[in-house]
Amino acid sequence: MTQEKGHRSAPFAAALLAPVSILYLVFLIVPIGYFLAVSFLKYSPERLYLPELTTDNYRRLLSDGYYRQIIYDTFRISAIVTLFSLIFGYTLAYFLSRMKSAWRGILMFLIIAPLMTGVIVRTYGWIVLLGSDGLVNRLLIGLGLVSSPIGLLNTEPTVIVALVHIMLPYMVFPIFSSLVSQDPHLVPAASTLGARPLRTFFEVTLPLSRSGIVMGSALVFTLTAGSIVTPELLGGRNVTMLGQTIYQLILSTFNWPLGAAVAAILVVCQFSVISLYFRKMRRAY
Amino acid sequence: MLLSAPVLRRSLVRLKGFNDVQSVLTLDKIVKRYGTTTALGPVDIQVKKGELLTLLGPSGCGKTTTLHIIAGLTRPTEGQLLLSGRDITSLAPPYRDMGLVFQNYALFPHRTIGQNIAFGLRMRKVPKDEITTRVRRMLEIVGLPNVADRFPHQLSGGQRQRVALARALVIEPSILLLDEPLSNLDALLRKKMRLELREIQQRLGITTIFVTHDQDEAFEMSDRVILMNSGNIEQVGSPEDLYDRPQTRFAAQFIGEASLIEGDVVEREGEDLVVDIGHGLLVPARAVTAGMGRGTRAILMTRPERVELTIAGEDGIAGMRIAKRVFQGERILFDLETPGGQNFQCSVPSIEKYRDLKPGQQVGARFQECRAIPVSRS
Repeated sequence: MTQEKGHRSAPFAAALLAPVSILYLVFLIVPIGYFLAVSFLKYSPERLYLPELTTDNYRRLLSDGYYRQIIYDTFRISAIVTLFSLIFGYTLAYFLSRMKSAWRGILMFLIIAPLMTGVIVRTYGWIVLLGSDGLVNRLLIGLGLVSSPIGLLNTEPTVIVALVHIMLPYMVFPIFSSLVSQDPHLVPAASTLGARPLRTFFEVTLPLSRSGIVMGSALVFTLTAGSIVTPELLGGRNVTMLGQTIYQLILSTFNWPLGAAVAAILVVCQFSVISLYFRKMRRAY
Repeated sequence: MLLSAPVLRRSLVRLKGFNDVQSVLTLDKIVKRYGTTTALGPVDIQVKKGELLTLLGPSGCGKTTTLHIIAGLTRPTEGQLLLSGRDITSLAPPYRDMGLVFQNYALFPHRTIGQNIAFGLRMRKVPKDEITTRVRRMLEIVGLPNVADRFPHQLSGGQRQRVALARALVIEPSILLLDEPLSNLDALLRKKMRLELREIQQRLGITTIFVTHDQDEAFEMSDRVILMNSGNIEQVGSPEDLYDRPQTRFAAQFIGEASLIEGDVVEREGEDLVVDIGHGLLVPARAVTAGMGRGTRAILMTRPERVELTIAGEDGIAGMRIAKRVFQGERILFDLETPGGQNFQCSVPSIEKYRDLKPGQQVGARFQECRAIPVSRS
């Protein structure tokens, strides 16, 4: 549809694309290629890896119950976080898209603001709230609901709650933009044709915000699957995800080939989610 | 069944719309206020069965607000809306039985043309086979039999407009509402669609309310026109009425090319007046309304094609100065100035007699079918 327009400016566009292409090549494609290669090499405790091709690393990951559990947990947690982010993010984005402009700006800022603080700061915030001497436990004891502090930290639900909180902006914005870009006359049009509000939402508003839903979900899923800090700090020994495993294997155990294989599995899964997203987006209407 | 007197009276009140001859829709003292500013009204409109009624006026005159109130998209602050005698003032749009065509068509971009048109029927739980038949028939009526499987973005503006019309018509609404449906089309297509729209409307005999700011559109298509200005109705009448007998200064100025000259009524006989436009120049005119006796101020309305330009020796009111001359090819448009300094326009055929007249020259004018509008109503 719009691609034809770009023909004449193609060389100029290519020139603009050059810096970012080089950046991606040098700092993304080459390193990924490197660790993909390493993942097929043999582990050596003395020299990190030996120049000897093998599929042992992958075989170990997929047969060892410990690693299989981590792979399964990572994608399960990512799916749950994506689902909850979608539910909360969509309602928030819908609310934002329907409100008056002055308030909208303030609320948008409140949603962006957490992004300006680091993920570590936000995770520590949760520790302050949920620790055994934290606000939540004090409140529960103060209200007489529990007699001694309950263990909120180092549990999977806590990790999920914190991740949903951290990921929410990535879900809200794509959905918000897909909602505000809809023709405002579509809803009244549907209603004059006999559709009640809920029906209009499911027939018109929701399907037309699909691009935002897919985009937000892809973002949240891949970011969650790759998260390290939040599961590490809030999940402790009880929650282990692929990101932490890679960290340990590369920087503590120095088993680079196995770490690279874990990373490869993570990257392949993330790419398949992203390519799924692009396939969905290509469907024209 | 026996009805008690109060019940009977109440049902009669409810049937008020019916008592007026064939009024399908009645707007009874409708007012719309936003905060303390009144955007509309009070407005009284009676829509007759099968007619095409146009709401005409400049932007911000309240015509679209009126249409949205009829469709149920806007709640009036005051007043009552009666559809076939039934009070629908607080009825939500899905239950109103109105077909609305939006200015930008508002087709559902993720649905095919067929699905767009079927939407209203699906909401009404019409059986599937019947939907298919009615959608196909509707597409034939609007002259697009082969587009059912396409998406809106694959159609041209004119085609989308017809699809929007089909989508509104297929539900067989009691009233069709058109919100400037032609304004997004190019000039040529707009003219063609006017005739087509009118033709479809008459063929189906559907009561239609049409909103536009374009008087040519209004004149060509309408049975009746309601001229609106700053939230109020200026005049209601046939296109001919509005053009020929504007009741107010606004109506005279908004519709067609009009020149307005102020003067005093010096003589009156029935509807025929003689008006002094200054320096003793007397112009015969016809009163558009009663109550314009001797001594009252009046506004004379002339149209360029109704003023005859006269030169020395011819029978006309002398003493006019040519202020401006615009050569238009087959016609020449003159701006003339009365001795009192009031301007009016005069359009003459481009013939030798007038071709050499230059600004500054003195000429005469003969006014034909001059209308007198009372100053108080302007």
